[in-house]
Amino acid sequence: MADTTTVDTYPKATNTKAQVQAIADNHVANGAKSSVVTEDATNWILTTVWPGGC
Amino acid sequence: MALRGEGTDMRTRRQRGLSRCARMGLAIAVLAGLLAGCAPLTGYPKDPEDTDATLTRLAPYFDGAAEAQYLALADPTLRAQKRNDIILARIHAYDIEFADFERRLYGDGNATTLGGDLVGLVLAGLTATTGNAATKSALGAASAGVIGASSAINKDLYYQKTIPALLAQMEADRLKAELPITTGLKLLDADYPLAQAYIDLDAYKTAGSIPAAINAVNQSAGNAKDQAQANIAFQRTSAQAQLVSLASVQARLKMLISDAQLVALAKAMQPYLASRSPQLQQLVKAIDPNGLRLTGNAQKARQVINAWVGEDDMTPVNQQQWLDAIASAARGS
Repeated sequence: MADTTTVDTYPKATNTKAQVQAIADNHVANGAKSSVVTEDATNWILTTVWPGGC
Repeated sequence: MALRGEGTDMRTRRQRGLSRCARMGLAIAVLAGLLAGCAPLTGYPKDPEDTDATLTRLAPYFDGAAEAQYLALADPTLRAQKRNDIILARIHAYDIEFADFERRLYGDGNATTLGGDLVGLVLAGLTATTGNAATKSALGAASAGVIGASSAINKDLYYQKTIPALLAQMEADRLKAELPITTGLKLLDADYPLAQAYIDLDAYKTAGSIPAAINAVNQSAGNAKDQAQANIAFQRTSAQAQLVSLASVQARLKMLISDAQLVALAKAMQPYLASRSPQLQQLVKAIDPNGLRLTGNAQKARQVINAWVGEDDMTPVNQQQWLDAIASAARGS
């Protein structure tokens, strides 16, 4: 079965990487298959894979 | 003596030169002969069946004669038998033609393209290099030959890599198209009449074509691209605020331990889904497209609830909806 991927974007101006990483850890502790923090010039990017999908 | 000796040396050198030219010419001729004479290795065993004769015998199943017999039958059992005869005969004919098509694509084409190109290049090279041309001219011709050969090999490598993939797609498509036909063979004539079988047979025939295979390959690539583009994007403001509200809902969520409670929670939250962002609705739809969580599927209920809570915009109103629904699900069990 396929999974479903979400991409959450948090502005760097108002969020730290640690805060976004805490969300990632929370997602994995609550059912997500994976949740990874990356970044671009202005945002923290949280990519999460949720189980289930078509 | 000295003159005779020089003459002898010249004759010897000329003979050696002629001998070298003869050997070179012979080698080139042999090479050209080998390339031209390459027997195609098709990769298929010889077919013991006289397929031309078989196709001739199957002609009544294509020219309307067998169809007329089918239409003249009134008994449903006999009609189904005749229908099946026509279907199986047509499948056999299509299989023969496809096997021949496959053989020619993979076998003969594979063997002749490179061989034919190289023979042409060798002959062109012979023309340019066996005369008394200047060294520069000979080198130019040789260089052109090398470049030409490289082009021929590249073209053939593309061919070799593409055709097996298309053949595999064609075979997969034919198997897929054959399924409704083999299912129909078991049905009554009233449920699977010959007219319907003809439609399925046409699909089976078309599935064995290169255009259909290319379309299928492109469609697969398009689906993969769509899947890659199907990521659901959320624009957030504060990770800290999100985490605080998440934690309060998740702490209550741990109260629900049975499958029935999870399904009850999924049902209790369903009326609120329409008020959520399009992205969140898309997420729920992607995880549970058929709404199985609402018909008692606890695994789907758990997957949807986890993702929904994790990605929800936890405004005070939304947060309260979750807390009330969790309390309701806990009481209901």
